[in-house]
Amino acid sequence: MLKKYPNSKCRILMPPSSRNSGKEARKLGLKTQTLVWYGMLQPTEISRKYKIRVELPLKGSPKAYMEEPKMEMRGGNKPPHIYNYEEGKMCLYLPNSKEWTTFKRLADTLIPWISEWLFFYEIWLLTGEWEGGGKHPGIKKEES
Amino acid sequence: MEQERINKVSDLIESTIHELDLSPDMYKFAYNLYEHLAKWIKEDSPNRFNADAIIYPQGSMVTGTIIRPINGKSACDLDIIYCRFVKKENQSQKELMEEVGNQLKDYVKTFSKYNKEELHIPSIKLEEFPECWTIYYGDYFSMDIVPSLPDPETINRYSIMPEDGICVSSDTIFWQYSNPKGYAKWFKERDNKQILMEQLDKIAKKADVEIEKLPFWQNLTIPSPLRRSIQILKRHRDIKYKGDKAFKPSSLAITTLVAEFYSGEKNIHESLFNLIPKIKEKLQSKQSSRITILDPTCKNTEKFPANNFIKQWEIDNRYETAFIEWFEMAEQDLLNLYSDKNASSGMHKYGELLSENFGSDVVRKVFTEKAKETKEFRDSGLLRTAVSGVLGKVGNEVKPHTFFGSDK
Repeated sequence: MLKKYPNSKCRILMPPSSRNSGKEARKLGLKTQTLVWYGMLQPTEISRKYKIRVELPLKGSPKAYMEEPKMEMRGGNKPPHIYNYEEGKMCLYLPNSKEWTTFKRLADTLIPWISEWLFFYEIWLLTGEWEGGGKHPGIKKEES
Repeated sequence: MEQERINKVSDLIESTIHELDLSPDMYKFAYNLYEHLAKWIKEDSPNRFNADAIIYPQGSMVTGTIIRPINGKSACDLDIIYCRFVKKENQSQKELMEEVGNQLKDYVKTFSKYNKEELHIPSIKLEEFPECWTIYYGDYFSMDIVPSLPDPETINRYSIMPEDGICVSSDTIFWQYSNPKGYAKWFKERDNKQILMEQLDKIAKKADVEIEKLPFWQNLTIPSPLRRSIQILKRHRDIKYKGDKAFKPSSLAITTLVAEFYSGEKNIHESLFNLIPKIKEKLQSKQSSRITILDPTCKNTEKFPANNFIKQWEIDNRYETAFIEWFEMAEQDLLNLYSDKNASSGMHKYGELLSENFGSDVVRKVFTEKAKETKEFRDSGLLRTAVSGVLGKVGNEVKPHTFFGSDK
């Protein structure tokens, strides 16, 4: 991943009980050993530069967060396709589907999806419409 | 990256202005109505007059600088010269206006009776103005027909297409001299594109009424930096003036100034920012003499002084003040749009800036289209991400996925 995104940093954080990175792991709320990637992404030449954090726990699925700037609302509405607004946690793929599996590289899946999410997020901030498609939990019909 | 950002801003401005171009359908609609009127006049004239005539389009439709007005989704107008080959001495301005007016009244009657439904026009109305007759076709299209005569002094007056000067009835005492064909040729030369005269192929017939075609619409959709720069400034003026017509800077003044100072730049950014200081310098030169925008086709001799396109500035200096104020505002707004201080403010901020200057509906449409295009690219496996995260045609493929989740 570092090869494909040279302007980023990767760290392996040990569980909160460990001596080395325990404090940072606690701050991030990590429970197990986790790979943490920090990088800057800018979806277009006129977009903001976003500081992104991706966490990949030893066992489990990767999670993506918008660290800076903070996620914004539009007219009192939170952006679509997020798990947690305060944490800036984006929702990029269908859970329990084959879209992401442990055999796939983050650099080839999650990172491009984040860029794409940021692109549609900026347009949503302008128009109020999410044009990137997707599904909402509990709603079977896919957005066109 | 900086150049790419500038290109991206230009691309957004271009896309916005493109939305304001006449669509091919609108162009064909205008063309059909123009041709319908011209053919009717051609058939009707021999029964009515002893003199020949020529009909041809002029103005922004010919120079390719037309933009849709801010009110009305598809409204547009077409300016037509109807030049009757009558000697100036034999016809007064009033007679000329009346004769053409009577003919047009009959056209409107016939149209209303026989052609309204066939051409999908809900209503047709004719109105007289000091220099022209206007036919309103419903609420969305109008044609200004300018009655005129050949100018006997045309050879002495003009350096470009001197044989085509005309006299237009401006009031009951004076004739106003004009050279629309020469102006179109001058503009084409400034634009350095093959847009005009080749398309103005003639359907010359027996000594009666000659009709010239409109330039083919496809040529008008090719954006040249000159034409785009004019459209950008005209649209900015329309937005800033909203419905207010008082002292609004005229399209002819903007078109002539921009074309005069355009020096073949290859893109709108270069074109605008090379032009603006030159125009500003001209506008600031008023201390030494009064500002004029002279008809560029004129020889401008002592005996035959050139037409000043901003004659009204002499009558009321509020025209001048309004023009200078608007132009300075346009400069500031364009500088702001391209400024690197907005470099990392996000597409939505650019969208807001563009909306302030060119209208929110059209800008919203542009961004929605860009988003749809990107999604289509993703869905067909063509979208890629560069190392910086920039989406485009290079880098990692964006693999198929489904945005999910909701934090309600």
